[in-house]
Amino acid sequence: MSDQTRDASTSAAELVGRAAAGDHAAWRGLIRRYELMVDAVVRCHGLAGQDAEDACQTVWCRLAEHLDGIRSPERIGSWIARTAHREAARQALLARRARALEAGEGKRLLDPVDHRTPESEFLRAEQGRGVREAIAAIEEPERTVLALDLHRPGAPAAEVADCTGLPLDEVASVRRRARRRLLRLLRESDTVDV
Amino acid sequence: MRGRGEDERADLLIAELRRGRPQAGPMSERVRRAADGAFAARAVEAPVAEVVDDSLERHGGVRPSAVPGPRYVVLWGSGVEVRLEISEQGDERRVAGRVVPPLGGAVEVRSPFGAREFAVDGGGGFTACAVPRGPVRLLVHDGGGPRLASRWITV
Repeated sequence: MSDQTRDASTSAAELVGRAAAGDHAAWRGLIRRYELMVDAVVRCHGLAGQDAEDACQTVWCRLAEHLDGIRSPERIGSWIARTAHREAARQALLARRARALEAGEGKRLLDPVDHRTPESEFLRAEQGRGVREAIAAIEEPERTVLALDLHRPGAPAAEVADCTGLPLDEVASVRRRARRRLLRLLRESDTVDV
Repeated sequence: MRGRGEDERADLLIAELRRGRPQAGPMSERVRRAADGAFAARAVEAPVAEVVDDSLERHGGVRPSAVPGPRYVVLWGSGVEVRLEISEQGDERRVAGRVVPPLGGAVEVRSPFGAREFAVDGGGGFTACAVPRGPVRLLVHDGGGPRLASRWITV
């Protein structure tokens, strides 16, 4: 959906340079270029609703703060991806904490490990937990390649390369390697039995 | 041949995992306003205070039921330490803190949507109430301009 929002004629480095000089249109250009990747990364950590919004907000705040100190503006996509993973993982801890505090106050525990939930929901929750733990164990660039693979299927190779810093001609092989690694990790954690 | 079979199984796994997962979408209007707010307020002429300790990270591997009470964060920069105790109150946070050594002045709590100042007492203590959840940035003022600024952290 987003290719109309990605202006390939303007490089990421140029947008960073103009935004750092105060050009609001260039700032919006950076947002358009990477907002779907940030959302994909946040979603692959299992965040939704207000938690997903908080994590996304912090990623963009960190980018705004970082604009003046960027040493490799041509690699800004992979910097944003790493920041998004870090902030999403932290937000997931905050969300777990909030659930624990609510449970301690006697409110309903919205934790997936609830024996009253139907088996299919339980299995889906277990699968979600297994995927989150696997993604946390996988390093860049495979981690962001997988986030896009799961939550932005059909993303053009050029977009994946831009978001990860990979050469364009390596995207397909890294995606294959990342998928196999995910399969292996999910087998080891007994999340899948294929 | 085994490698190809493994690739097919990995492809099937991805197809299965995609079902029921949300597709990435454009940011909400609130996130867009936050991003623009952070861009407009990005220039801060003060040394950076880094997070040097965060109880959230220390308890990361522990089950949630073992994580009661406030979250504790320590910021440090340019010889000044800021100790924070952050409590959740619904969608708002109460941030009680202490600046060491005491500098007087005030602590400014910035969100992407605005900023508020809270007086620091003689012992370096301050309390910021009704801080909205989400990203915030703390600026320590010692009577003149900002003496220290944290990075954006989520509370």
